[in-house]
Amino acid sequence: MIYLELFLVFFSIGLFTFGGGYAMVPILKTEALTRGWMSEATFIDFISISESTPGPLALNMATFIGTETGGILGALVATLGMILPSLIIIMLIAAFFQRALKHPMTQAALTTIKPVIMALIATTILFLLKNLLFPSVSAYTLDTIDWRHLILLVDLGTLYFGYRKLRKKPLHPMILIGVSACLGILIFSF
Amino acid sequence: MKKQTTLYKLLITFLEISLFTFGGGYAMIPLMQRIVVDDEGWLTYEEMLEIIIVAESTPGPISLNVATFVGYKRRGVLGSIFATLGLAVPSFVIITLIALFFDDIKHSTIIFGALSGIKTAIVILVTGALFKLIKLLPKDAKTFIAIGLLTALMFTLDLLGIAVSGILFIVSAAIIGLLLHGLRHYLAKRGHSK
Repeated sequence: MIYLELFLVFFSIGLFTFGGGYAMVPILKTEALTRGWMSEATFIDFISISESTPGPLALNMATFIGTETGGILGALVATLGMILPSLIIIMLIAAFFQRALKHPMTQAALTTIKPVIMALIATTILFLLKNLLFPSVSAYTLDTIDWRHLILLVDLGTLYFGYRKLRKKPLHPMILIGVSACLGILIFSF
Repeated sequence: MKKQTTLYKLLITFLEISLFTFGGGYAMIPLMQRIVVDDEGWLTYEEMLEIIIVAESTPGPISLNVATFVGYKRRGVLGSIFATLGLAVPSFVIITLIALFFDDIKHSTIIFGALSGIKTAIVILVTGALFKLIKLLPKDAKTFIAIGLLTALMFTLDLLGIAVSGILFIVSAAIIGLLLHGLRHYLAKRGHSK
């Protein structure tokens, strides 16, 4: 039965993958292809659309694959499977977290974990930058750089950080996203 | 005294966050900082960082983990469920619609242009979010060298195509932190007995 199968696959992915949406892609791909849910080309299309529509990547993928294999009900079951592990685990942690956090041992561990989290975020930024500025090459020179993205990056960066400096309050992320979408259409669509 | 957050408010807030989140993982952190910390005051920056650490160290998508945590903190079990629901509804509606018009969307140059722009904005927003989080750390050379070296290591592994899960780094860091803590404890004790 496809609904049970969808639920179990997404439940186990939610339960066993660390690191969020991008970490799930390879596992999800293996599952979807070996179960014959879709072709590799369709899967790749799904990922690029999931990345570029609003909503967390993981939830978008669950809805997409669910719809493809089992219609609206399939999408519901897959989303539910994806959500449940997080919901249960985090609720348990939240219930006991506050007290455990004050413990000197936890604080000692957190002190060394914090720089690691910063490095993980910084690595993500570098990775995104690489994909943005050098979309399809392995050589990083001035000839292969994507100039249009670089110019847009500098413009948006100036707007965002300049606004923060001048107004002492950061520009709302939604405004930057709106501006970037309009500029993107002007630069890339025509 | 703080006003109690309604379940409806939790639902609507996370719905809003979901609508403006593009991509996965850290892409939602800038919005969470702005809406949950700055505007609503549901968390402090310090708590936000701790939640990110918990979310990174537990299975499941980071966005879902954060929504569940914030929901629980404000309104318990029901709060968790409503916050998660808020996060899931936009994905569900939008993707179901897109599945119907898949081919038109795939070939639309307007959508392609808008998305190329948004991807650029995400890089800047996450960078801004990182600067804010780094401010919470002790401002000494040791910390910055550690972050720099770790970033260089992780990015090199990335470029070489070697997949190392972030959780491995987190667990190693926790063990080192605990060992240092133990060592400091031991040295302090020995210093006392002298």
